[in-house]
Amino acid sequence: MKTLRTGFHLMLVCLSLLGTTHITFAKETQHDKPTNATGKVASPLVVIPEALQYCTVCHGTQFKGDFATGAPNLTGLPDWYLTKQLTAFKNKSRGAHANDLSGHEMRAAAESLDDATILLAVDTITRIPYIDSMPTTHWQRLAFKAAQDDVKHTNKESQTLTPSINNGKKLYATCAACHGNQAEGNPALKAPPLTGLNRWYMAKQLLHFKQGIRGNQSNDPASMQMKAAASILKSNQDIVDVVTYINALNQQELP
Amino acid sequence: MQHISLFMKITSGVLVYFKNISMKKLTRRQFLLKAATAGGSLAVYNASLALDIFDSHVKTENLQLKPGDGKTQIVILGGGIAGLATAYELEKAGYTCTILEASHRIGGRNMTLRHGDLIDELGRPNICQFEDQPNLYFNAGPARIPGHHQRTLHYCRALNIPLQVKANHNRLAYYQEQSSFNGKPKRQVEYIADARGFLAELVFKAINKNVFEEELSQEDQEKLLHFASYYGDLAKDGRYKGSQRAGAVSDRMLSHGNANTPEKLDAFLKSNFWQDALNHSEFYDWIEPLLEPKGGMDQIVKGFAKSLKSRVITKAQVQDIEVLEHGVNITYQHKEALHQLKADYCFNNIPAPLLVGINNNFSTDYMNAIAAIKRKDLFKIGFQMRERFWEKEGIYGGISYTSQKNAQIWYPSHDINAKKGIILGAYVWNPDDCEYFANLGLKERLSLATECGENIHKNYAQYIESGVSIPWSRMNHMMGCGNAFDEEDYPRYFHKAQGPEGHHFMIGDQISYHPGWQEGAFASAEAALLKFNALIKAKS
Ligand SMILES: Cc1cc2nc3c(=O)[nH]c(=O)nc-3n(C[C@H](O)[C@H](O)[C@H](O)COP(=O)(O)OP(=O)(O)OC[C@H]3O[C@@H](n4cnc5c(N)ncnc54)[C@H](O)[C@@H]3O)c2cc1C
Repeated sequence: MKTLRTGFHLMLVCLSLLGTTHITFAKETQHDKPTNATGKVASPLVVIPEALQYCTVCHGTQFKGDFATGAPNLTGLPDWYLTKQLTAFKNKSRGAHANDLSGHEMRAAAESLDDATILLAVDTITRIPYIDSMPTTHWQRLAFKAAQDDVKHTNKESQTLTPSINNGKKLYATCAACHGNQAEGNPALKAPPLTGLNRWYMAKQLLHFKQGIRGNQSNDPASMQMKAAASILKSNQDIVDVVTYINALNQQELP
Repeated sequence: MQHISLFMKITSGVLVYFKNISMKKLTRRQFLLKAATAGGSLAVYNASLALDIFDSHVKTENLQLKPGDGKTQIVILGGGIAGLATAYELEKAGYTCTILEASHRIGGRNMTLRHGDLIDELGRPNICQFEDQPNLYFNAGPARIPGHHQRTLHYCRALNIPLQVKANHNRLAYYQEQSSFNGKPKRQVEYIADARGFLAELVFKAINKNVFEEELSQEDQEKLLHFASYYGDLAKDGRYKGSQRAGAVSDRMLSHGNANTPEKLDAFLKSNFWQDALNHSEFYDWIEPLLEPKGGMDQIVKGFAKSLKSRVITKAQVQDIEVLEHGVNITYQHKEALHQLKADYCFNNIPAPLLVGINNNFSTDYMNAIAAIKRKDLFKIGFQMRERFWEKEGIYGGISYTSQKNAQIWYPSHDINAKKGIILGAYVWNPDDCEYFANLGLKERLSLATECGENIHKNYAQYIESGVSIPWSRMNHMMGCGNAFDEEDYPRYFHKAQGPEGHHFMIGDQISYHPGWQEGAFASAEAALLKFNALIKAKS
């Protein structure tokens, strides 16, 4: 988080240098934290090119994510990963599985993007400083209910599991090999950073990898590798634990 | 921001106090009087808010807002019909409004498609290819109004929108089920006659077996026997042998028409006819006769647009909502530039699931309540037909039902006998089927609905000249329709979502117990305006 914030101030400077249209006003973007004079974060809005405006309908202001539409936070993701995923959606190697409902929506949107627009999208998103999405206490329900719906179309509510951060830490040791100790990611291994990702989104994707909804395309070895790695997560409990651990890394609540 | 939390603290303190005194069972009047002495008129307002005791009996048509001073600025986010009605009422009372609408058009889900219109679907924007004729239009969203939706009908009256009767239930239209009666379409009237006949026959038998001995006197049993005979058109022996109510196998004018032979009861029971075709017109919102504006449902939108003097900015996508102590600060993007607009009051018509992604400084409770509203879906297809072949089959308006993916076919009630017509070729409710259609390409969707239609009308495909498909979960700036709380969430969140928060009011059918109906949207506006009125009175 700290690094992101610093990056963000740097960004401010860059934006002014580039003369990008933006306005600045004091604003707290985090909902769960009560407003106080010190907690305010200046958040300049980056103008979204008209060709990308419809992306923000689902992904929210400045691509910060929206759990109610099922669109994840894209701020803070590196350009190479964004490009790879957009291209995957466009080429139907992601979002094509019959049970990937929100993936279908993204695929429909990505299919209409030409290469120049993908470039523009990646450029725009990476110019936006990291922003927190609206957090949700229902993240487990969102992840597992949605994933269950995807698979069985049932409405069964899954119960809320109590996370064990220790178990999460143990499980994460395997993940760290590629994603790094601080979940900072490793472009050489095509492992994206995980800090700042929404919990509901991480949990849902882990379930998708486990179920083979993601990572089933032979032309995407990194993704297949992730599918194999996800098999270490034996249960929803494991998923909740590891996601909670990664999220705690992001909040710098751990030493 | 600091002020806001301070304001909230003070008001919540007052609220706790009033919640406590309200326990002592004061009358409403006593209670408000106490509130007034303790904290002034604003306290009364806040107490009324907390306890939800607003004048909910005021009808939209009698809405009397405190006249505006010409200075109070109102911003309305989203130009759906809830936003438009809000602007209409506020303008009438002398307030200045600005409507910010993200789409290229106002009206939101109230959308009628004609020649050349843009269908702004995510990833697949396309243009409606209907011929340019006044009768060739398709209500892609709302299409019918029952006689008891008095708010909707009030606005039609107030805006001089001529209405006509819309046939919804048509017994001559078909019911077709792939797994029943060899997939052959049958006129609904045949099913209905059989359904009544079978039930009546069972009642008749039960009476003769003295099943009702304890409940009914001999005389009443006698009456029930007559009722059953008439209800089911039974023969003298109490058997159902078919009924001329369903027409006849031969011409009924020049010879004695013989009734159709009824289906076998077990075969009949296998069919799901009773689930939709039989019972749809029993639902209160679908009771006959229904109404529609002449020339398309969007006459309501056009009526508002004609009457409004407010500034309407389309392609203005709201990006940030900041609730201030005495107003709001809105940031929106328009033409590749960001703009700020400060206003004294804000009415927010933006679909809740999209609002979750929009920057704001709402309190956690308020935002959580709004975020509990879930995305829902519907899917429609409209076909331009070169000939009104259905009219030659005796079908004038109404709906055919099918177990196939397209689910329904609607025939226009307007412009009967015109050369061409637009019919609805699919109206899909089942979420899986909505998803299925949405996932197909534009052409494939039409082909699938065409194949389904072929099983109902002979040569259906040959009549089709062009078509449109509208997956509401993928329509830009809407991404869903009929969004609603889960049943169990209503008691928890509804009142909270109604708000307001400071000077910010949520509106839209999503803030009603009746999402998916324009009446719900108008009711939400009415409720918000009543609270606004109380607030502005308290502040003056
Ligand atoms: C298929 C279908 C069938 C229906 N059938 C009927 C019927 O027969 N009878 C009936 O009475 N009702 C029917 N309805 C329901 C009716 O259409 C709705 O109740 C009504 O139109 C809702 O209006 P609204 O103002 O609440 O919301 P909406 O129409 O959803 O308005 C929301 C507005 O907000 C705008 N917006 C979104 N994001 C932003 C942003 N960031 N900034 C600014 N603006 C934004 C949108 O573009 C839109 O204009 C039907 C609806 C559908 C879809």
